[in-house]
Amino acid sequence: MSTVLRIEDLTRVHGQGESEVHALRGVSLSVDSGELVAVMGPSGSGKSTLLTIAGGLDSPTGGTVTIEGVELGGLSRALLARLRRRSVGYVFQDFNLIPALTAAENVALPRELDGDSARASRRLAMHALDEVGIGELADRFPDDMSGGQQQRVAIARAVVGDRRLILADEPTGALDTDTGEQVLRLLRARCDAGSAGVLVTHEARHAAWADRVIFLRDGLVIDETGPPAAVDSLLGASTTR
Amino acid sequence: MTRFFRGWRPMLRIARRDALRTRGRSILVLAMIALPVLAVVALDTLGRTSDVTPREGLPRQLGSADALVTSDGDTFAVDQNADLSWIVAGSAGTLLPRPDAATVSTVLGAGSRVIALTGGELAVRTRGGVSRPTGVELDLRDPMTDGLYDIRAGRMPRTLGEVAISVRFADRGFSVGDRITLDDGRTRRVAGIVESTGTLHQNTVLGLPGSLGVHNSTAHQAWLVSRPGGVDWAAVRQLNAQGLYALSRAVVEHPPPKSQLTVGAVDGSRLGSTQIAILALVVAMAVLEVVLLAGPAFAVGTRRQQRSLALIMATGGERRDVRRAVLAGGLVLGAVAAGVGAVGGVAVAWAARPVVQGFSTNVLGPFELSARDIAAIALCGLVSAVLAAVAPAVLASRQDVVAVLIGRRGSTRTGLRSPLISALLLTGGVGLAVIGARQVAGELTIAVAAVLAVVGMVGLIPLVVAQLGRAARGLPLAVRFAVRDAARHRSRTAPAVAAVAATVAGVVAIGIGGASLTAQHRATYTPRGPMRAAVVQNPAARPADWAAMRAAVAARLPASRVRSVLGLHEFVPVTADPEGPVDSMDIQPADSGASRIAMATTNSLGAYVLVGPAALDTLAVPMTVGQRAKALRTLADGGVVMLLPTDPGVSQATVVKLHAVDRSSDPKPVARWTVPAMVLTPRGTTMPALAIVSEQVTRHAQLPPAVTSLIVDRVTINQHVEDDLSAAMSSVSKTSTVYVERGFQDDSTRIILLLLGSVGALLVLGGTLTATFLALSDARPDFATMSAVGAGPRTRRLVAAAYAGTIGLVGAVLGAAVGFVPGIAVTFPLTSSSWIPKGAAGTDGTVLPDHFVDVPWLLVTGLVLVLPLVTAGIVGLTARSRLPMISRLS
Repeated sequence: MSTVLRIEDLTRVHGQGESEVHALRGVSLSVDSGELVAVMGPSGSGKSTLLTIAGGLDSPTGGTVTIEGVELGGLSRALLARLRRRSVGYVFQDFNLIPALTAAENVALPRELDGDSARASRRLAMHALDEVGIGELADRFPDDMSGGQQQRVAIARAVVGDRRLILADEPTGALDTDTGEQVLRLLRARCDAGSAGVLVTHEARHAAWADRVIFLRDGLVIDETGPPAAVDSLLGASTTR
Repeated sequence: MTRFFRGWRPMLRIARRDALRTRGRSILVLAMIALPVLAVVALDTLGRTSDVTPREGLPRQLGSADALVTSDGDTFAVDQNADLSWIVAGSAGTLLPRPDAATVSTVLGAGSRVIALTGGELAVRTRGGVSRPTGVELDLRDPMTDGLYDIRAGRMPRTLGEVAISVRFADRGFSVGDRITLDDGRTRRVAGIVESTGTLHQNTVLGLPGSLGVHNSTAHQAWLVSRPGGVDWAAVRQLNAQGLYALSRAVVEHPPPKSQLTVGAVDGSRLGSTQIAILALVVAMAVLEVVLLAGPAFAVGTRRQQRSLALIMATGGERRDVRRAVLAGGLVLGAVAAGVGAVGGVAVAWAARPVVQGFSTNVLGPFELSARDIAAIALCGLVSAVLAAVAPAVLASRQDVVAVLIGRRGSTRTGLRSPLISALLLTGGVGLAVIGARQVAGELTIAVAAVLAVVGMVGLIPLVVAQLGRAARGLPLAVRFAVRDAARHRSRTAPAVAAVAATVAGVVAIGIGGASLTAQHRATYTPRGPMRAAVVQNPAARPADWAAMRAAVAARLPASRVRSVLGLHEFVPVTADPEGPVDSMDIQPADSGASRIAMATTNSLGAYVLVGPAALDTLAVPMTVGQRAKALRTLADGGVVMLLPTDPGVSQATVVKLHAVDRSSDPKPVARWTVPAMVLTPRGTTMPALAIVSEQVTRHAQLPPAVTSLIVDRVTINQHVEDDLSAAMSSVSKTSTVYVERGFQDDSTRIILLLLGSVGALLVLGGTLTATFLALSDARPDFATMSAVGAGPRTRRLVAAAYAGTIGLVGAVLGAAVGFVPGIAVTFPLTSSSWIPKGAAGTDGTVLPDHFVDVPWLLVTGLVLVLPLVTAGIVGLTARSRLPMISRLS
């Protein structure tokens, strides 16, 4: 299995002087293809910062991020954008679909932005929507869909065009339990099909879908476990300290 | 009532804080309302300042005297009102002796003092020939004249050998100490340079009574008077009884009651209902435009406030309170904008006075503010702001509180209400425009129609925008996003599109009307002489004068060709007495029946009837070689060449000799005979002369031909040469005039179209940019999402350009379409001309149509296509390219 995402000694400082906040203080992590890694931790632990830097949306204060062998540090904004179109897919808690575009157009967006023809993009988008099981809703606008349907569209957008790295930030946060389970099953299936996945969550139940769990607190990895069964005890340890 | 105010108080507080918090948007709204208020207040104040009331004008006309008494030479009793804005010259009653200074003194009684003020044309030799300033004889040493003139250099004349000259006359090369030479050869020393306190840029020479010799038939006689206790209304009426008018300080300051005035003298200058209707239309359109421009800002502001508005409802507020909260925003911003605009307008007016003075020869009055006007204008601004907030307020009060509070972005769809009413308004407007087009003076009807159509169109714009959103499917990503986003946020898009559309509609309508009127003027223009030639006329010249004038032209312009035009004077005196009996000639087509062909004729070459074959070449009438040969043959055969707008197909003309006992009496035919004739049809609608007759005809009529004008050509005659020629001709004979035919000159229309285009472009640009940047800031989350899925920096620019292009194009296309209706309609009442004979040819030789339609395509395509695309380009280039980050991925 090849390593898709490699993070080494990542630090991130927000602000300066008195208002300085150390969001990450030397985090290292690598995710192979076919692997789903859950990142857990309390609010303010640096989970989301880790994800934005991993996808090239934000840049680190120190350390390196490498995606499929390409180090992000030296890339221009335009090249970072291309990386997000071709290699990285994001899934957000509140879906972040563009309300002015239909489901199919939302999914096709990364391909269209990459310069594919509208027709070719749509074909790929339809394929991705079929994979997440809502091909028949392709021409609906986000406002006319349920939360679960919208999150499926978001996942389809994250994987369209055969992208190898999926970064999901609390993808089930706005969904009911059953829908949330379905969304995680979908994510798991994508990773089993060969993608690498990073799942930020604070629910142990969801972390159970992952191959590995890393636990962040105050910007540091305080533990990393192979079998997810150990997560519960770990949580307990951290919160009672 | 207190309860009512208590309901508003917290809302006003929220609105004030919110306005301060969102400074950018607040400044945008402030500018949109304050700028029009500022402009109108400044114009109003400047208008009032440049308008000099009779009371303000007193020192300029009276100096320090109590009254100015004027005689216009009438020797009957006259009638006037207090400020001399209404006078009736005497024409009946007892013949009075011509009034003089003694008459005035007698009426005003003991203790009064009278000094004479005599004005008349003066001839002064200058380097370029003879200049004709106004000569004023007045004893400027008398304190009564204090305040009439400001001394700019030197001093007032003290002796008969001294004069003072105006600044403009001094610009001809005279300064203090120089000597000027009057027409009679005597010289005067320039003692000072002065400027009138009332009127600038006058050509004036001032001297003591008797020093200039202006006592001739054209002289204007007046007296400045002082009288203990002033000149009251009773004294004015006594002066009127002696055939004198009086402008009295006492009477202007304390006007007599209306009961003491003649019925006609009572001031009736109130606004007519038509003017009030036009004013109301203009105000309504201006308020509509401001409402539409400011609307999007309020729509966006309300959506930003969504959460706090939902909280108002959650904490027990009613829909009414939410509406108030948004309206309070309009109230706060409107009040500030109105205040800023009013104060700014006054300041601008104050600063602009020297500029305005530069355009006017009348000295501006004192700086004058009208509290009533300014309050009304500011109120219009305030009302506009509140009206702009109405639609967002209603929408906000209908929002789903729960959806907002749990943070769903929620649908912001606007209902598509009342397309029926809007469609009816639009149809009604079009129908009314058709009705107005059939009326003789249908301009006001068409203006009302235009407003109805525009309001109807504005109501239909949300529907159009929604339809566009549905049709966007096949468009490129950036355009598709822009159109769909515009359709989703109709409460923001529709007013912006409407503002653009309303502006374009107005500009297109006025542009078509103006261009059509110009087209008519161009087509019906009648040249008064050969192209580029100078025509010298002189109705009072004797044969010797013509020879002298020819010589003067030859001296000034040696390279030129000078031709004398022979013609018959309109009235040929029978005896040596110029007031005695006169003969004249008329020529009619022989078999045209009893009625003459309706046409307009001028004596552009000094005579209605020209004589001899040479006249054929001096008239600007295009003719074929065949026509020319036939005309020469006809004249050689003792016939006439008639000039008619259309050829009635006659070969003979009737020559009528008429006789009258004097010039003002009805002429009676004394002889009538038939001669061979041909007809030429000059271009244009006014014939340059009635006919060219052969010398046989004049001999038969015993009417001697004479030189009636000179034609100077074969040299380039620019404005400078023309002025020079004018001066040269005047120095030979005062009554001569020089006219240079330069073809149809049209500067005003071009300037008006340019002005219209600029104002239109500014408003279109304003509407487009506002809506675009509001949309961009509204679409931040979408841009963040795009960034997350890999959009490059170009995407935001492309979307921005697409957004601007969409708003500009949709608005301009709709506006132009609606503007065409009143525009075309108004050309019917404007240019339908029953006086043009059917079948007459215009200056381009084609038959003139019933009415003229000229669409200024440059203006229309500029506004509809070029401007939106250029705006889109500018927006695309200047928009920030950096995409926002999703600051926290939840």
